[in-house]
Amino acid sequence: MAANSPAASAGTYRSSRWREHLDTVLPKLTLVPTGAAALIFLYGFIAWTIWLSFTKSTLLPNNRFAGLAQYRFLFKLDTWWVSVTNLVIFGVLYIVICLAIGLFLAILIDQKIRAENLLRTIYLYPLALSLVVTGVAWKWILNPDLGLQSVVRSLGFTHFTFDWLVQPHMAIYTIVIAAVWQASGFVMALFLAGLRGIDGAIIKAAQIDGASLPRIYLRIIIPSLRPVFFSAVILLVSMAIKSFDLIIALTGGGPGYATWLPAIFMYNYGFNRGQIGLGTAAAVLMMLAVALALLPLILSELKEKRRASTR
Amino acid sequence: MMRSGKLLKSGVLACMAAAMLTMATNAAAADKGEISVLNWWTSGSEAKSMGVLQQMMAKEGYKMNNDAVSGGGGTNARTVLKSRLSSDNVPGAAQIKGPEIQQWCEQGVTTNIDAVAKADHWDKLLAPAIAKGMQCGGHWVAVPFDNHRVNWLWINRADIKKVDAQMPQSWDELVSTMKKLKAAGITPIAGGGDTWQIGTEFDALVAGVGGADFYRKAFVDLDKSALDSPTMAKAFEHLRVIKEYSDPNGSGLAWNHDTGMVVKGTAAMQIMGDWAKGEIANDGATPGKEVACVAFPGSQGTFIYNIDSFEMFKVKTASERAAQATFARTAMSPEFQRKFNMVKGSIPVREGTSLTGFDECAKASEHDYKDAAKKNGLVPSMSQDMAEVGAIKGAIFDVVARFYNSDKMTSQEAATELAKQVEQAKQMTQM
Repeated sequence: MAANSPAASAGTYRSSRWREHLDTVLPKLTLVPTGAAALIFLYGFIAWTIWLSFTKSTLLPNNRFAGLAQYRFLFKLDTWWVSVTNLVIFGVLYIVICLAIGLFLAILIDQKIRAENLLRTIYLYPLALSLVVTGVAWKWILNPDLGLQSVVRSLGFTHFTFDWLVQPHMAIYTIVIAAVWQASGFVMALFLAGLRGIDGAIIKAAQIDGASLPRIYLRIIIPSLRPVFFSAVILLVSMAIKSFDLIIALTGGGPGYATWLPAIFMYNYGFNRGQIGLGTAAAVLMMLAVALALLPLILSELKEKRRASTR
Repeated sequence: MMRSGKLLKSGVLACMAAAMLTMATNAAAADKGEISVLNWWTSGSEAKSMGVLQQMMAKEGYKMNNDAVSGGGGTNARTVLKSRLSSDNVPGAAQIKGPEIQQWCEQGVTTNIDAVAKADHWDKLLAPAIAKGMQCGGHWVAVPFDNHRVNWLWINRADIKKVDAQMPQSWDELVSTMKKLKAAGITPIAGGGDTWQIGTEFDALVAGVGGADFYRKAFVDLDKSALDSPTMAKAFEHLRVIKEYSDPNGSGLAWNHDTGMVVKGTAAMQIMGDWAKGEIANDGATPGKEVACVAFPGSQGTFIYNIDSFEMFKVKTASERAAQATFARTAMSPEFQRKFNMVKGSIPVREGTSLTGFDECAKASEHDYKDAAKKNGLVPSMSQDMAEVGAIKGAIFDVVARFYNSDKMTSQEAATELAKQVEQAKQMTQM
């Protein structure tokens, strides 16, 4: 069979080479649009925002350089400091309570109980709701005239008072309540997955050694959930700093500006009050806050991994 | 790959089809000219009024696209305006009010309608202060639609009768009426839901305590000696009294919810502009009958105005310019002014328009307007963005909110803080 000429075989060889080449290039090629989009729409806009915070932008963005003037104005504003204080109160309580409730629920559900699927779904359900729905629902529940307070009072406890929503100093805690209600089921699901991943043999070994159940949880199970804690905290921190719609729906930032968070501050100045420069300055500080909160966590986790891999 | 390729293809096709469709409809409709009108009037009656304008323009052979963007008291519409300006899809006219008109004009994106204004003698149809607000650098850049009065007190007549009180005419009478109402278990004032509502109350209180000249000195001129003055402190003092008699659980409730409380009689009074009339009518009562309208006690000689207006933006073609002119002329025509304002609850901003068929409150408003115009008592509303740009109004609102929500801050401290914050905001905007 002379048909099997060297030329033909060279052809198949070339085409297979070409294919091989394509195989290595194609994945990179398909990533190009996503990469370019991320470069422009994420990092490009971050850079633009940072630049705008150094300009005199008001109604429309402009490029007149203002130095640090916007930041100086920002630090003089009571509304900004109220927003920052609120973020600290809200962020800490939200994360700690979500973790505590999430872990507790996960441990309870992990006791091989009946109707686990049903309970899991119930706890996870709030997450399926939009934050606006959560906000509006809690707004009515917490309204002293219409919600919880009036219901309890109508049961005969006429001195029962629960009016945090209309108290300027307590209103921020109502946001914690609603946000925790929304997210703790989700944290539970994360922990539950983590718990299911723990090797049963270790626990059995500990039981044989005579360790009590609380001791097993404290010394073995919870420490081995470390990566779950890590992902939960990262998710919750970014959710806390981004919080916006829940507050708009629940308190509208009120009473007054008592429940403003930096995100609401930024929106108000950037869009309502025509101070784009000031708004972007607030946005830049928010980004720095996220970075500062998460960097040490990420770094320590990376170090841990490196240590584990060299061991 | 194949699937996504197909998807992409059909997506592109759909986009092209949509683009062609919009082009086709535009081409069919643009007869003499076309104008896109950006606004935030989406409620039933408001949208209907814009429909009237559309029809009137269609009669003259122009197409008006009603680009209504809901929400945020215009914030969303403003965001759309910004993006449309930067993407070169400029609307012919956009709903903008107060000093923001001049702010946009300074950005160099607006155009003038001097020809229409001069031909129709707008300077003779509008009060000088209002006319000045529609201009920028001596040119007419905006057309006014309506004239709302802010300093009204809405009173449920039955409640007042129940406690045997009179319609309050002075601050002292108001306080004694509120006392009686509270003793009878009726919430005297429905209000305090958000800073905007409290700011609206503050407008009326400042006019009541200081009169029109003081109001102008404080909120228009931003005079430090007026902002940080015993008179301003007294206005804050009165705000605290109003708070004492307001619904304690009202925080977070919308103004129209409060209007409903007054109609039902669970609360007796509300301090609100005359846009409340629409809500009163919606709840089955007649403004002026079951719910009386009186000028806020003490502020009778002052007419705090709130005017909706549309500013003209630079469009490219001559036909668009022609549509713009027709839009402005039609909006100021007596026919539209009557039709629109009857629905909106305001009075025609065009002076000399007949008020036959308007309700009692509108007639009272017109009477007070004429009276105030004679005595230099017309002032632009601070709370409704008529006196200051957003940054400065925001600073005033912040201090008002802080005072309202903190019982520790004294009224003198509030006045001092007001002057300080306003000064700071001024620097911010003049950077």
